[in-house]
Amino acid sequence: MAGLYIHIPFCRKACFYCNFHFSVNQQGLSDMLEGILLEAEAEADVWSAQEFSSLYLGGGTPSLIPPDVLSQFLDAIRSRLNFAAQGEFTLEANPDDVTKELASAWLASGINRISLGIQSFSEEELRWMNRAHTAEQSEAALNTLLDSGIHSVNVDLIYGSPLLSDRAWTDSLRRVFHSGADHLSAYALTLETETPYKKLVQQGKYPAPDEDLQARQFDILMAEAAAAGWEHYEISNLCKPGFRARHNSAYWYHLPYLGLGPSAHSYDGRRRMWNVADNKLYMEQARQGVWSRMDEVLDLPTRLNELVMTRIRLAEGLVLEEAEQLQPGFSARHNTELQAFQQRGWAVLEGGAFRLTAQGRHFADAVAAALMQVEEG
Amino acid sequence: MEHIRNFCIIAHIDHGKSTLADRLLEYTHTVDKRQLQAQVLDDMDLERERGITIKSHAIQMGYKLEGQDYILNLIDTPGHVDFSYEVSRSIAACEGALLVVDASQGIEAQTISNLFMAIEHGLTIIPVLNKIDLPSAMPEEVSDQIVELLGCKREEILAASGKTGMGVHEILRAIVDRVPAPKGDPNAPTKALIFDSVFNPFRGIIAYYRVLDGSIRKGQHVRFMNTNRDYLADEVGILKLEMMPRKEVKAGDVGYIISGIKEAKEVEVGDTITDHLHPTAEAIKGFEHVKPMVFAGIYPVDTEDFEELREAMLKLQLNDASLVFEPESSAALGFGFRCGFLGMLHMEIIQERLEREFNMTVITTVPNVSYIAYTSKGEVVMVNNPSDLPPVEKTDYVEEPFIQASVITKGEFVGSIMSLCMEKRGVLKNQVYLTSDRVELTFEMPLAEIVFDFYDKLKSISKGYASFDYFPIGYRESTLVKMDIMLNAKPVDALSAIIHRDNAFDLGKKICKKLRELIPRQQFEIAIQAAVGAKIIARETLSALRKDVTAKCYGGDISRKRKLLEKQKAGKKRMRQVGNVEIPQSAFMAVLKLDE
Repeated sequence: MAGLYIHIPFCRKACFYCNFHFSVNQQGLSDMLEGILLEAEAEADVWSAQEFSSLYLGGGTPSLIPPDVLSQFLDAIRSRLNFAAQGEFTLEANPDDVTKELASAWLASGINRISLGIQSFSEEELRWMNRAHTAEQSEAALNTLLDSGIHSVNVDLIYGSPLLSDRAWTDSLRRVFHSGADHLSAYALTLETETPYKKLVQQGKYPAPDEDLQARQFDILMAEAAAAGWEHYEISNLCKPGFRARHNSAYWYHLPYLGLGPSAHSYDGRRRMWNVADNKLYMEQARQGVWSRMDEVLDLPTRLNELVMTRIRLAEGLVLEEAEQLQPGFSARHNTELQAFQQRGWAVLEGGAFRLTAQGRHFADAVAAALMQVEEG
Repeated sequence: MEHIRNFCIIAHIDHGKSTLADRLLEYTHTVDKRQLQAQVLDDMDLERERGITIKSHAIQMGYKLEGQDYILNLIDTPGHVDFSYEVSRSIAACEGALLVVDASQGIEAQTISNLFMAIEHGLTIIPVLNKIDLPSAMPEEVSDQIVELLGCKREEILAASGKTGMGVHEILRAIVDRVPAPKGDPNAPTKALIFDSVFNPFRGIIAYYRVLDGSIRKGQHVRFMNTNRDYLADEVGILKLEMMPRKEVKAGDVGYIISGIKEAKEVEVGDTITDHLHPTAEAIKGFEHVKPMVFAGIYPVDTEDFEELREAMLKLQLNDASLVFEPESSAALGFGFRCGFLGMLHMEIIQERLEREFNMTVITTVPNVSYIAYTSKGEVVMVNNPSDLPPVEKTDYVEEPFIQASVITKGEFVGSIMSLCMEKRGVLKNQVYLTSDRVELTFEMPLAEIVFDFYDKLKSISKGYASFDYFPIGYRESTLVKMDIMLNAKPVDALSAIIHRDNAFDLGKKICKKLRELIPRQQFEIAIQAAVGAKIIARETLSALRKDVTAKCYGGDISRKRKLLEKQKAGKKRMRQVGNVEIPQSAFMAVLKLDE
């Protein structure tokens, strides 16, 4: 089992908080798709033994791709790599792109899950974040998708911005929980480096996210999800029971994944590799047929650190036996920390798994760091 | 001897001394272009990065003028106020000085004090207007300043550009024509002035000197008069780009001596070398033991590294005799050293060298000057650490070191500089207009006030148009108190400072505020308090951390996020736990950066 991620590095507008790799100039879209196919071709042999159970078209804004082009592109991808019969095929879409025709075309080309970048139901906040769509478009897009017969719909929301009141956040959550969508990714607004937002904050023009507000709205998220009967299965991911995202879960369970396109990351169980985060350089490599990737081999301590970091974010928590396999004596070595976090009410140890409580989820990074192994000096 | 010229260069930082020196070396073929890395004379990395000369060096050039060969010895001088004694010894070794002034900047305070030192020593001054090629050059105005200052004729001023090489030949000719040949008795007993020393890991300490009388020979038994130690001259020679061994270095010339000395403190700048059997009658005047002016604690970040830190400090001391230290302990920081430095720059240099050359991560505590406390029982206590200050009830009075400070600036900044100096407890002693727009202000003020944020403030209120110099003028009585800082009611001794009572409330408030910024939020609330004796004079509250969790963690985030957490964890290890509070290194220097 493996996952396939394809990065479509084009956007209509630059959302002010985003530090993903993209270009707002869409001239090169069809060339880029050609390039990605060449990369898939080049990887086909190495990955021939793998069956891909998920495909995720992310970006950027993959909903920019014209439907006929997308259909051909996906056919070409399928002809190069092996896919499981009941695979999860997700496409990220922006609300302003979604139409009835497009939705059926996506369905016809094999897409069975849409991740809709709604982010906010407030016009003011959408403008503040330089999003390309309106709240009205979001509502319409969501309905169109649900009516189209698509199997699964995820909604992306951002909370903790200085413009979002607790009241408005509660309303947005209820809207999503009762909309017919089955998955929610809820992200705390983050001041990422090299973003317009960061610059604006540094210039004193925009306020930075308020930690107390974010903590409060995270509590609201947990309470509302519980009330709606949704499962909060990862720090930022919630779903109706049975609708966990398969593709993203692969990252957290360390299944192999292949990433195609500029800046995409791959992992083969031993090494993590990543492509150049530059459309021009990527195309240059495609033309020359020489793919040069950065990579790091994950040694045991590193694999342990990644295990701790990702599992601690999951509802299942960190199974201590798995940590022991990577580092014999892990539980004994970290006994003090494991005890301290339980006493503080941040975690519980049940059935051999160390799980964060609602309170502990606010401090997932601190807990992970405490259990990581860092060399001296 | 009549064909030797010994000279130094007096210039303000950034006025192009090093570049010009490189040109002199290039034009006299002392180095060829290929060897000429930028700024040959500054051979420590740190010096090159900071663009200043920390330690002085010397180099000999050969120069032919009208068929006659000359030896030109350039003795480089350090360009920072922390090292003014070393400058005076370099000057004492010369007969002439190039006064290099940036044509776009004009004369600065540091230049003036060094210039006066050179004039006092009877040196011939050759004024050079450097960077004449800059579009912003103001040759007329700066020439006026020079004429006024030196009382020289306008035509004596040479125009030059270290960058283009313009005027370099004229400078060389002027050195030969104007600087007098050294005088001295070649047949008298050996008498040489040590103006610098360097540490060589293979050869030990190498002393640089200027021979005044007699000569220094290989194999000679020499005596260093002030330290009263005898050595055998294993090797003597002159200083080209590399050391050139000679049998003898004669009167008037500049050279080096290697005599198996292992520790820098045996070779004191300003000492006199003589023959141990036939000593000269009198040592050269002006010798002083170097005295540290600023003290601070240096602690290993990891308490286990104390011995390693001691080793590193001992090694640093081998080639930097002005560094002094003794072990001390702090309740907050464990075992470390109380170190004495020549000044703040010297302190920063030591800290950086510990990190770069010895890979030591250290915490430096709030620096302080050396106080003298007189107890009611009549004891005299030297206070190099705030915790050494006797309790108020047992103290008769306390004295602190004062300095005479000179600031040169433009007329428009006089008002704000005066208020700054008065705020720093300074008393204006004199005000002189050097030209219609350049003013020299002389203050008497406590040295301690310079240690705190004085330079930065001076720079910002004068927009960079102020230069500063000072010298100590002795101890005076002051109303001083010890201010303690407490975190969650636990005193942190490494954050204590001795301050003037009148500043206590203001400083206490600022320090608490600064610490609130520098200490990261933790999982509980932290009370930050400043106290004088039992009285709390300021308080800030650092609220508890509410969240510590990354939003996204997908395929492309995992490596980046893992590295970030690993780095954070490593950084946390570098923090100091005091009580239950984790304090970053930066907090220990908070007092110095109150207005940033």
